[in-house]
Amino acid sequence: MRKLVNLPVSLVILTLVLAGGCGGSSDEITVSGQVTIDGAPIPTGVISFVDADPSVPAGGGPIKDGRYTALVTAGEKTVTVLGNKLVGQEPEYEGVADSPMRDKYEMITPPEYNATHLSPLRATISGSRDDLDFDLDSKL
Amino acid sequence: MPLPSPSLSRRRTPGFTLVELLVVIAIIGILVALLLPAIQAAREAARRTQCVNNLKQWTLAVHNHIDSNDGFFSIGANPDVRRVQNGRVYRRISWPVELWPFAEQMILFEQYDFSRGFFEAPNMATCREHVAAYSCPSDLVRAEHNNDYQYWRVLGNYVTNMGNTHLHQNAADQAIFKGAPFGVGHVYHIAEIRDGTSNTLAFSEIIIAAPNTTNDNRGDILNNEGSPGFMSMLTPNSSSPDRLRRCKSTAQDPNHIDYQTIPCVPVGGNTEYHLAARSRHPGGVNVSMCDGSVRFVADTIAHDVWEAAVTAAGGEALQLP
Repeated sequence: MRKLVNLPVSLVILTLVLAGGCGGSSDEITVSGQVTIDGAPIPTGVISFVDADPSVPAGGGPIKDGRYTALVTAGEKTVTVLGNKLVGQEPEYEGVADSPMRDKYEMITPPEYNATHLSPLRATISGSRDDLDFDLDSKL
Repeated sequence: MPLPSPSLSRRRTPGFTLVELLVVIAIIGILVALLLPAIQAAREAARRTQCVNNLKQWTLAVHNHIDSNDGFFSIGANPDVRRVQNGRVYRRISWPVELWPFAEQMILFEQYDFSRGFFEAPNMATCREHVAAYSCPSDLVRAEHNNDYQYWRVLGNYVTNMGNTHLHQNAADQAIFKGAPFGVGHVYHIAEIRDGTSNTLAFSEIIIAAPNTTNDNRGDILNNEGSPGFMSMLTPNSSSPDRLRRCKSTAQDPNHIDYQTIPCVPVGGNTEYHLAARSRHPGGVNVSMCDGSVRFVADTIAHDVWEAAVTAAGGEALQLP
């Protein structure tokens, strides 16, 4: 009987170990910084980091009041930026008199910055940082 | 005959000792602990099976449409009054309408007036009918807009493959667009699937972002400007935001839990609009191929392989794993 005393204890420990399992972890790094156009902060928009290796998925994140936060894998990246500003309201159903309205955004960045094969912005991501800033030129 | 000695019977009383009882309880506990997650997993597996069935039905409906329409796919969506490649003129419309007759929804199809947009009478009524095959049970069933919205519609989870660029092509996109089975304002022919129907995706799924509101486009499959299709600029369940005309505010905030599953940023035009395939299944999304087969694609898929599967005429040698 003495031997059996340890059995429940060891079973409980085994269960705990099994229940612990293995947690998933992402290899994406958080980077953040400022995005400006001619020095002025971009009010709203989105930034993408597209890897030189085509098999690596694109990372990115939202821009709000000139600051962005993005989840990115390490590596050499082409950076694309789409900057918008809120300019008012527009009808959801064009040509309908009583159409519900929605926010109207206008693109304030040159369209080249939003195309991976045309954007001149580059970045090398190696670790988390909060000062990876980009300044865009409105006359690209 | 000698009776058993009282001292012996006290030593071996019939019944269990405390230790034996604890061992049994521990074993039962372990078995239950093993079984409970299995039951949950089995329920999700059943929902996923239903989800895959719907995906397959829509793909077979497309095939039947192709067979009875000179080889043309059904329209993905149309943004205005436009004559497209199959010679027909469409108003604002999205993909389910032309597939209704091939998905046993003949009554809806007969009520639909093609000379009016989807949001006009009598079409609004057909867009308020729940069709079971719109929904993936792993996400939501019978989802709809808030009913005090004048144009409320039912929401769904399935999206057509609209290629490797944006919802509407912009100038830069036109150089890199490599074909798709579905498009906005375009109808494609089965012969244009040059990569082969078994190498090109037909449908995938998305998460209905904001049921009972009109705050987010994802799920609005009956609207050409809602979520008629998905694109491959982002891989399935990407951590990067979709770009829509309307985004739920919590989905725009990187510190909110919604951002982890349905990240989103609002944009001003349909030429900047794109969205990724997303699902609530652990680890990936269901997709159907243009040949009618259905597969599960992991979130970890290489971006170039995903893009190769999305493009209809990219000429890539890459195969889905």
